[in-house]
Amino acid sequence: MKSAAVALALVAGLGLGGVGLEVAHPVVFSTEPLVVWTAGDVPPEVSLGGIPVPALWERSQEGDLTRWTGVVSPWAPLGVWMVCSDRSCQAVLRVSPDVGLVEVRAGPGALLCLAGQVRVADRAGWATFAVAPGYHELLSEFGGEPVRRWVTVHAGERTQVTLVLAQAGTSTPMALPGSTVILGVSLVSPRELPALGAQLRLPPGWEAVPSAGVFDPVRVGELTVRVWMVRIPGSAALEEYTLAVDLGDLGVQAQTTLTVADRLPARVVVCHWDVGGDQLNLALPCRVTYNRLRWAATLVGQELPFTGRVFTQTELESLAAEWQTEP
Amino acid sequence: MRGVYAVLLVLVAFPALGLGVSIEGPRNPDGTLAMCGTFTVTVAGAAETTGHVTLVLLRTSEVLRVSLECDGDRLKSAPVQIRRSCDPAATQLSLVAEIGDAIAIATELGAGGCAVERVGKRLSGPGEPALSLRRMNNDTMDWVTAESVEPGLFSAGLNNLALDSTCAPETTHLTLAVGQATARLVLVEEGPVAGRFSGEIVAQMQPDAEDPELVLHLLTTDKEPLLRAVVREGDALALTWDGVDLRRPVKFLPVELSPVDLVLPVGCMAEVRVSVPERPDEVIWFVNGVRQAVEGPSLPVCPDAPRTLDVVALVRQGLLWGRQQTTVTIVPQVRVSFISAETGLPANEPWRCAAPLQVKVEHVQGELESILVGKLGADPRPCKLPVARVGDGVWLSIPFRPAADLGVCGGDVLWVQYVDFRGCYTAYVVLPLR
Repeated sequence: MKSAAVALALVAGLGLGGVGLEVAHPVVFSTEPLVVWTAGDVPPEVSLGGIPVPALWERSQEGDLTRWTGVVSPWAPLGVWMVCSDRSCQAVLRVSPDVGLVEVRAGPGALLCLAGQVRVADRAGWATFAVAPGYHELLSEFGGEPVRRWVTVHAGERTQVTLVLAQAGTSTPMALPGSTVILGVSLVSPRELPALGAQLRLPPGWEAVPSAGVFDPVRVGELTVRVWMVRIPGSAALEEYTLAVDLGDLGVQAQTTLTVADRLPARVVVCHWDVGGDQLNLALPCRVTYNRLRWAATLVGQELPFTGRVFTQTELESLAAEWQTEP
Repeated sequence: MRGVYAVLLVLVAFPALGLGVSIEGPRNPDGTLAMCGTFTVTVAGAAETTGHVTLVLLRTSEVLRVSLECDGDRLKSAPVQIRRSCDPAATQLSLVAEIGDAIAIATELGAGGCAVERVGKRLSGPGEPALSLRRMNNDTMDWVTAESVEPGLFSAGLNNLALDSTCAPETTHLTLAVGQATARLVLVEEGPVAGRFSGEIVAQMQPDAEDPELVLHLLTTDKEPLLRAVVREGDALALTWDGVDLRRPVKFLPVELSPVDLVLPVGCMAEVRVSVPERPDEVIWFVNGVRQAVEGPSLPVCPDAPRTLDVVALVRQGLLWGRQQTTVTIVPQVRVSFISAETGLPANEPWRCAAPLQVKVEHVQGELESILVGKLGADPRPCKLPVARVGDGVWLSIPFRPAADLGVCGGDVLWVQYVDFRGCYTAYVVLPLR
C-alpha cells in the first residue's frame, strides 16, 4: 500500500477542492448540453483524458452564479469528462442516449437496486442509474422494510423518482432574538407511515410547538408538509444556527439554518409585516404584497423598523419590481 | 550448252585426279555455301600459272567462267558472289542461285579437277539472332526502345538474316510469355531481303472483373486477343525465339497507401488513403477480396469486430495502373475493470470503501504507463495509477484503497477510464462505493 500512496501522489492537476462550479447532473446524455454554474464569468473548460475538448457556451446570470450551457459534439466519446472552472472540477459521465437515466432521490447512504445495478445514495440522497429502456423494478429498504417501485425507462430520457424527500426550511432566513418563526419539513415517504416519527434538534433554550397534524399518518409517495412554531429565546446569541428534524422512520434528517441578528434586511421586514396588526411577524410566510408595499412606501426616507437604517426609494422600487413579478 | 556437258564430262572422267579444286568463303555449319556470300575458287597442284574454272549451276545450267590467277603455290579466282535474283550484286562476278542449288566447279588445268558445292541459307549477321521490343511514342509517333511493358502499341522484332531464304518476305514467330501465360506472335519480314522480322502488339492493363488484381492483355492490332495474364510487381514479358529471349518488366504505377499496416480498435473509424500518386484518376478498393463501392482516393474503415482486413487498391493515373495492398488489423477495444486486490475477482458493487482494489486493463496494444481513476461528481480527484504488464495485453494497477488513498467513501461513485489516444473511444467503468 505504500507504493499506492506514492503513486497516488501523482495526482493530475485536476479536481482541486473548493466551490465555484456545479453541474446540473453528474450523468448526462451525449446528446444533451452540459449545464454548469460558476461563480465567475470565465467559461468552464471541458476535457477528456486530460485533452481539452472545445465546447460552445451560452451564458446567463442566475443570482450570484453564472449559468453556462455548453454544447460539445454528440459524436465525442462517451465516458468520464471533466468540467472545470478556475477553482474546481466536476467529473461528469456521458452516456449514450440509447439508455435511459433514472435519478433516484432517497436518504443519504440508501442502498438502491435497479435493473441489476446497485447504487448507494450520495450525501445529498441522490443516486443515478443508466439502464436499458424498459420497465424496471426499483428496490430499496427503509426502516427495515423493503420498498419496491416500478419505473418505466425510455431511451434518451431522464426519469426522476423520489423515494424519500425530507427538506427543512424556515419562514425567514434571518430572525430577531425573541421572535417566533415557522420551521417546516417537506417530505415524501417511500412507504405508508401510520404516524410521523419526527424529533426536532434545536439549539439549547429554543422551544418548538408542533402545529396540528404534525404527527398524522404519512401516505406513500405524497408530498407532505409538517410545521412547527419555533420560539427563539431573547438571549440567543447573534449567530447562525442549525435546526434539524430527525425522521427516524425514513432514516433521514432534514436540516436548515437560521441566522439570529439584531437588525434585519428591509426585504425581510417588509415581506413579514403584519399590516393589520402593524407589527413584525416572522412566522408569516414571506411575501411582498400590495398592502405591505403601501405600508413601506410611507416609510421612504425614514428609518424602517428593525433595520436600523433609512428606507430608500431604491429599495422600495426593488420590492415593487418583485411584487410585479410574483404570480 | 556444250561447255556444260564438257564440264560434266570432266566431273565424271576425272574425279580422282590430283588437282585440288575448292571454294573458299562463308559456309553454314552444315558445310553448304552461305547464300549471299562472296567466295573465291582455288586450284592447287596445277603446273599452270593461269587458267579458268567453270561454275555450273546445275538446276539452271547457268555457267560462269572465272579466270584464275597465281596466288603463291596455287591459283585463285576473283571474288564470286552467290546471290538470289533480288539481291544486289556485290561483286563483278556473281551466280544467281537459290537455297538448295548445287554448283559444279570444274577446271581443265593440269589433268583437270572438279568439285560440287551446295548453296545453303544465309548466314546470320553479327549479333544475330537479336530480339527487340519497341514502343510507339505517342507524342513523337516514333518507335522507341521499350524498357518496360505498359499500355500502348509495341513492336516485337527479330533480326536474323539466316531466316531470309527467298526473295519473298518470310514469316516466323516468337513466343510471348507472362508468367505461365504464353502466346505465339507471327513476325513478318520487313522487306524481301531485310532479314528483319517484326510483329505489332497492343498492350492493355485493366483491373480484373472480380479479383483485386491487374490483368495485362496483349492483343494484335486487329484486337485479336493474344495473351491474358494477371500481373504483379516484378512480372515481365518474355519474348523467346529459338532459345533466344528478351525480358521486359511490366510497368506499374507506383502506389503507396497510408497508413501502412493500420491497427485499429473496434469502433474507431479511420481511412486508408492513396498517398502516392497524389491525384489518382481512378481507384478501385477491395477489402478481403470484395470490391467496395467507394471509388475515391480514401477508403473509410469502420471496424465492427476484431479481424484482419486485407485492403487492396488498384489505382490508375492516365493509362498506367498500379496495385498496392495493406492490412488493417481490427483489435478489441481496451477493457477496464475493478478487481479485488485480495482475490483478483471482479469487484462487486457497491464496493466497501476500505477494501483494496486494483484496476485490470485488457486488450492493450503496446505500452501503458498508468490508468486514470477518480470520483464521479464534485471534487473528482483524478489519479494516475501505475500499471504493470501481467500478460499478453493485460495490465494491472497497483492496489489502492478508495477511502484511504483517494479519500472517497460510501455514496461516492468511483470510475476508471482509458481514453484511446486517437480519441475515438473511451473504456470506462464505474463502481458505487458503500
